[in-house]
Amino acid sequence: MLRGYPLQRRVLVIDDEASIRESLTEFLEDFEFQVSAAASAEEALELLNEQPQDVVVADLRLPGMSGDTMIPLAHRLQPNLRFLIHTGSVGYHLSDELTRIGMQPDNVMFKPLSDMMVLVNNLENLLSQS
Amino acid sequence: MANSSVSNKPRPTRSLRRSLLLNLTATTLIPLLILTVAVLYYLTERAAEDVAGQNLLLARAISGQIEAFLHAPEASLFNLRNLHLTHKNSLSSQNYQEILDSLTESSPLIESIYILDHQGQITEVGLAHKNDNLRSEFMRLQLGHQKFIKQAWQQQKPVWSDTFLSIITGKTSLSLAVPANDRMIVGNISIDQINSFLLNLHQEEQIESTIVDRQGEIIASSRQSPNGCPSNLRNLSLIRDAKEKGERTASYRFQGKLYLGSVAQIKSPGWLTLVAQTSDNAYQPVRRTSLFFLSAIFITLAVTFLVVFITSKRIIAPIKLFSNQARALAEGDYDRQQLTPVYSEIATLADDFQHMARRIAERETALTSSEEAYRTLAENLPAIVYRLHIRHNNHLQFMNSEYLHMTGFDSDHFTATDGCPFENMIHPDDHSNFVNTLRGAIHKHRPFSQEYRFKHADGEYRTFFEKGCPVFDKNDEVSHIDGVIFDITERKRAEEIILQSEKMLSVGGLAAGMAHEINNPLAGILQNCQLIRRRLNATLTRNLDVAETTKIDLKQLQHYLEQRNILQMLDAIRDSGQRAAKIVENILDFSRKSQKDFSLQNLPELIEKTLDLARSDYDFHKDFDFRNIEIICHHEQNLPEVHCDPAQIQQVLLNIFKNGAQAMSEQDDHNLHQFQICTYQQQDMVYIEITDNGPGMPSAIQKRIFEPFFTTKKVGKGTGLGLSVCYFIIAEKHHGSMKVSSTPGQGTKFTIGLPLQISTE
Repeated sequence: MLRGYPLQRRVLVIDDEASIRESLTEFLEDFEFQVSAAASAEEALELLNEQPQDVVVADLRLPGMSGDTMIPLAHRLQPNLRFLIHTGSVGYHLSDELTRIGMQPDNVMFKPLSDMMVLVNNLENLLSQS
Repeated sequence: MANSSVSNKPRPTRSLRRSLLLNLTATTLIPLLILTVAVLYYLTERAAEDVAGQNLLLARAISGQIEAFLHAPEASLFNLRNLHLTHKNSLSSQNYQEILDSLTESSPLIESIYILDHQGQITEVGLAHKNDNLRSEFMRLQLGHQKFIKQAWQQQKPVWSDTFLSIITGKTSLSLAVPANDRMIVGNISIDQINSFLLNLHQEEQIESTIVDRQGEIIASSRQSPNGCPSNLRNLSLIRDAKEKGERTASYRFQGKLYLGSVAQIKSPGWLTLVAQTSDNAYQPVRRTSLFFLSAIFITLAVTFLVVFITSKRIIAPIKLFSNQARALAEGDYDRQQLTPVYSEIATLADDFQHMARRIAERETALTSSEEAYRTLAENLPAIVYRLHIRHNNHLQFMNSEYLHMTGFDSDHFTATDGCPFENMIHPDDHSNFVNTLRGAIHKHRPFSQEYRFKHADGEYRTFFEKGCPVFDKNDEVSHIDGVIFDITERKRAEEIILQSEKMLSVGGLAAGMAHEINNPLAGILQNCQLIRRRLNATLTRNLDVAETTKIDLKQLQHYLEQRNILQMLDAIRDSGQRAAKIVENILDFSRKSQKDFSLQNLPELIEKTLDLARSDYDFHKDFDFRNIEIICHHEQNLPEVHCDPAQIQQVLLNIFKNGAQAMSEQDDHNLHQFQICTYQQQDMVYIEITDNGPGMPSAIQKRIFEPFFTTKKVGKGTGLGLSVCYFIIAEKHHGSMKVSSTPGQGTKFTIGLPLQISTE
């Protein structure tokens, strides 16, 4: 799957729901993203420990560590890493900690997205900022 | 006169004037009459006694006079007898003759004197004036057969004859036979003078004196014209009694006249003197007194009549006036002129009457205004006020006209005797309950309240709430029921919406917990759907690359998918997923209860922001362009800021705009679509009115529009939760009000009211 050319944007998708994780991975790959996937926060951190990523698309409710706990840790591992939250929870508001590492309300997307292009656009925006 | 409309029994009434007249006349007349009778009785008695006494005295006097009158010739004859007895033999016939003649001459009463011999033959005749021719005629006349002479012979004492007419003088005469041994001396005495004596006695008086002889023949009478009168009174009982028993007094009827007479005896010839006067005459003073009394009575009567007339006029005139005033009073005329009565009592009555009229007028004014107050109160009540007459065949009486509005029926519909019973319009399911409640209230004497559905004239059922109270009479029986009926349809509906909303709230709470679990699979469905759709796209190079390696013609595959409608099916999956997502989102809205996002908001600004949002909302543009809708805003100046959750208010406004825009777009006509937005303050509420010129909606839909899951949109176009969420947000979370009103064909108006001060519960 990995095409491995350096200019490719690297996205880590974290979601415990396989259908979401896999479809998202597939969809993003169609838009020339280099997509990695993890089913839990622990697995994601392990992966981030080994290889650098550009953006993380993270679910919040995960089997072990929650998404918003993981994000600051990931930020510590890779300070340039950007984050998008893709959650099924309702009425989520960004915590102060997440705001401090540069996250904005726009970076929170609620499942189900009626159109995944919203997410793609958001990713593009985020990456173009850096 | 007495207009006694209240008296239950008609009593016979009497005229005051007549009563007064009768009473006064009686009081004056009765003593007068008694006095009159007593006086007249006394006078009559006295008069009778007086007259009788007077008559008797007179009769005695006359008798005495007559006796004295007869005594002179009697004495002369006695002297002659004595002479005869002593000197008979010494006297010659010639001398005897001369003595007799001189005796007759000297006595004015003696007409003649006869001397009879033993055989009764006249032997000597004494005549005045020496009438010798006449003397020779008498000589030798036989008189012995005369009854009185016979008696004188037998008894040897003087005997008077009956009266007779003298052959000498032709006048009434009387003879006295005096026996003298063998001779009988008979003196003829003229008594004509008695008559003139009697006539002289009573020349002007009404007293009649009559002398009757032993046979009852009238000898003399003071009656001037004895012609036609009977000359004998022997049949008169008074005379008969007096002859037998002496003096008498009695009243008798003679020749048709009533007389009061007394009789006295004249002993010597045995005559009677009757002195009488007519009772008319005797009772003259009594009559005069009666006349006096009669005039007194007449005068009294006249005076009484006059007094009664004047007095009654003075009494009756005011009474008649009072009567008229009372009648005028009954008609409501309180300003009658006051009268000026004569009597102080009537003056007091007039004052009292005037006072009464004033008080009645005051009371009526008070009553009228009170009645007016009660009537307007009842009339203005936003409820039916009724009275149900239990006794009168359950006759229903409405006390105000609200029933017209609430039931849609006119006044006669329920109250007319042939009208439709009120209960017939009650929903069949509620009917028996209604009847039982009413019966129970009457039976148990208790107030009642109940709810029922009532069929309005427009055919729709309204919910009525009724509170009634049985009213009892003196016998503690229910005479009628007074009650009020409220139309609680709106409240009921609002309660239902709130109830449903609350259900949704609990569902929402549940859903909030589950939202993540639902949203994740939904995301899986939707994402995969989109991915599949994308991977089937025959224009994308990645797809074409894979197709080439797998030796598949994507164009042909596309064609196949189209032929089999697979792409539409995928879209259907996507739409269903999206709808499910929307429902979850709406349900979740019910669970957001916190007021932490409340802040003071300027409503016109908030509306403006929402309009901007609507114009830029991607969703809006799918079916219609909000930018083509004309927006007219009327914001009240200096509108105070309202404490609210701006996001939620925006959600509500957006929902209304969306619904309105959608409704207007569905209209076939090409009118300019328009929203009119008004904001204004009323008391402690700020109102937002949003009016569209869309097709509007019938009342049936208006009533249900806030119910959760109620929608008129096509399947897939709406969840049916939008407006119920709006209602919930406004009514529950903001303690405001939300109403819809619409006329089909003319658009719809939503009115949102938000309180300025929200309670912080």
